[in-house]
Amino acid sequence: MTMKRFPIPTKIPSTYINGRVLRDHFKRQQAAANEVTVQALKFIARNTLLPKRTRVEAQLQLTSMPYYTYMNQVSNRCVDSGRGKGVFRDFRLCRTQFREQALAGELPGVMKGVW
Amino acid sequence: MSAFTKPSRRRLLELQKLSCEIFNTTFNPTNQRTGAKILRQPLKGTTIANYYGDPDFLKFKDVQKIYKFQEFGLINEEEEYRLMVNASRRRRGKGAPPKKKEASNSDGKKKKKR
Repeated sequence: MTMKRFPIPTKIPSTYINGRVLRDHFKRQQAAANEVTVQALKFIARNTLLPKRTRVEAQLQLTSMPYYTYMNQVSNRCVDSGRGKGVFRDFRLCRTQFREQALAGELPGVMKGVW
Repeated sequence: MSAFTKPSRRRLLELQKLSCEIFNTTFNPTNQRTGAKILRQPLKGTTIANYYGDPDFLKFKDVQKIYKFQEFGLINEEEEYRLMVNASRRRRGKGAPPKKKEASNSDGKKKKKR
């Protein structure tokens, strides 16, 4: 299933769905698709051995690319609740989801600290 | 002339060049910015794109579709529970109000545009 709300149709993720999650998912797909192009343009723009004109052209092309192709537009969201803050990178869960699931024993290897 | 005099700068550069040739590293004595830093970065596109899991991951609906023509029926317990709660709410008069037919006919197109 694809969604049409974005300029480029994207598949819907299999985890928790939310407007912000969908947006982030779309940005992730686009950032991944354009990664090689962006890196190549960056290489041309940063290489001082190349002629100035080529470098400026590459830089202009980079700035003319849409925001959703930028790697730094991507933000980690909670996979089970869509929360954007307090997300553990290793578990892809926000703090509340992490706590609930850990206490329920759904996260292997995670134990409550007792000392 | 003692054996411990410092070698000339040119000789040192030659040594560096030779070392670079042997160990297959770039010889860049003037420290020019060649953008090699960017080429050296590992590509992280696939890991970033797969953060929210596989979009083609099978859902209950898909499994149900596969076994549609089998004798046994698959029941989605969560969905059944939701429908049961909905029905009980409706019985108590707490359900969603019925859709207005006139409104949907006249404003249907306008609403879709957002």
